[in-house]
Amino acid sequence: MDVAALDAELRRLHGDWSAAKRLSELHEASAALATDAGARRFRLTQAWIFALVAGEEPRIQRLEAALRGLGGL
Amino acid sequence: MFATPAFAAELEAVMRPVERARGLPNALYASPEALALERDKVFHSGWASIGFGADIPAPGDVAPIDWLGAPLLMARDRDGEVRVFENVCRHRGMILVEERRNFGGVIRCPYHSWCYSLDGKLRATPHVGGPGVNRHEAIDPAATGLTEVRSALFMDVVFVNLDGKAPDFADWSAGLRAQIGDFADRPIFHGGPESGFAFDLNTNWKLVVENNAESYHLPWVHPGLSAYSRLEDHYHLPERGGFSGQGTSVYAPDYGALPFPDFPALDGRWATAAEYPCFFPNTFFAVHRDHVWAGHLAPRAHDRTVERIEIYYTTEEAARSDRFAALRAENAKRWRSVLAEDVFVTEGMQRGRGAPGFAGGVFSPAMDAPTHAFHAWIAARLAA
Ligand code: FES
Ligand SMILES: [Fe+2]
Repeated sequence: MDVAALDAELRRLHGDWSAAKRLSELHEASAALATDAGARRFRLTQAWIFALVAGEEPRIQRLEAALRGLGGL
Repeated sequence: MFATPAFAAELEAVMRPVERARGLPNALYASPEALALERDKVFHSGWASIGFGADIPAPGDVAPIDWLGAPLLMARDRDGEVRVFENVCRHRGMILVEERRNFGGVIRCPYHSWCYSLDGKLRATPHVGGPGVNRHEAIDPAATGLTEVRSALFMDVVFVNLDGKAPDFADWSAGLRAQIGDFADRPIFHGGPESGFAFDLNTNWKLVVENNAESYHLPWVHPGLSAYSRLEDHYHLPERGGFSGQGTSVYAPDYGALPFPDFPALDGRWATAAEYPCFFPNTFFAVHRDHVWAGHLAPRAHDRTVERIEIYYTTEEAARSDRFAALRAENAKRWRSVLAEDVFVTEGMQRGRGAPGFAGGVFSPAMDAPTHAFHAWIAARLAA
């Protein structure tokens, strides 16, 4: 997914908590595109909260491990 | 108004033996200050009902409740346990949940997205240590979970004790349990959305309790009921403390060829008896061998009360299956129409409290003992 498409979908779903699972995926994808650790950590945090809201246990675990690795948890 | 010797004397008059007692004074029905006093001395300091387990049937279901100004959240956790929390985020005090709903995951605060699990634990504090840093030594998650309120479930009614200082619920409800314990620990099955109904009443909550406690009015207000269950078939429930009410000795519903199944192995007296205890301050129960219902009063103002009734059956089949659907609807309709007959009385008594010369009224020692028991209980709480 390219940056423009990602941004467009993030904007479209903004505030739609029923789409938490998808928003988590999008934020995680956007984290992968981040160029510095701070930005990655920030986006992974967003992805993590959406995963918690969606109750996506495996994704939560994975994101928490990633955040720990970056000093975010 | 309520800190005066005159008011203390009025409460004293309520607590006299029924022959010489007066009812609670008009002032306790007539002003917002009265409800504020009752909030402190009756509702928040004892055990009171706030809703039903049936309001939150599935794990993850939550229901916000404004309990006389205290925002509460009833929640069913992942193990199916009902818990009650303050509906407020521990961060900056934002209200957490605005409407009944289900949470598949955490409960997220809509302000800065702190997240709580359904058992109240603080699960996430995003960016609390700066952007992308999700912890800070100043915030101890173990000490910053949702504030849990003392709660208890009795026949699917959710009770809370907000100040945390009331006796254990088991002690508080011991009298009621002695009266209708046959029904208390059985599984009961809510009949679904059509088995609940509510009245929004222009009256003080105490007048609804008073009316539900007594059978004196049956021949006049419920002629349909009386045609079948006469006044002399009714009896006062014994005074065991904490409740009062009435019962009938001729319960025999005419439900046709497919009646509701009875609870198994009930004591023999329930073959023809049914009882209607008012559990002070704001809860009613109705127990019959084939169904029970519970009522909850939510005071909205000194002169406005929402009365909710929820009906339960003895088996899953009776409560859920299509086979019993028409009968469930009929049963709910019957109870709704009986209780609707009381509306003009409870609202009329409220308007009656505007008469300056009415000083609480008097009680018939023969017929009004359950009413007096309730008034005396309230007076004792307010005088304490
Ligand atoms: S008030 Fe709830 S997260 Fe800030
Ligand atoms: Fe009635």
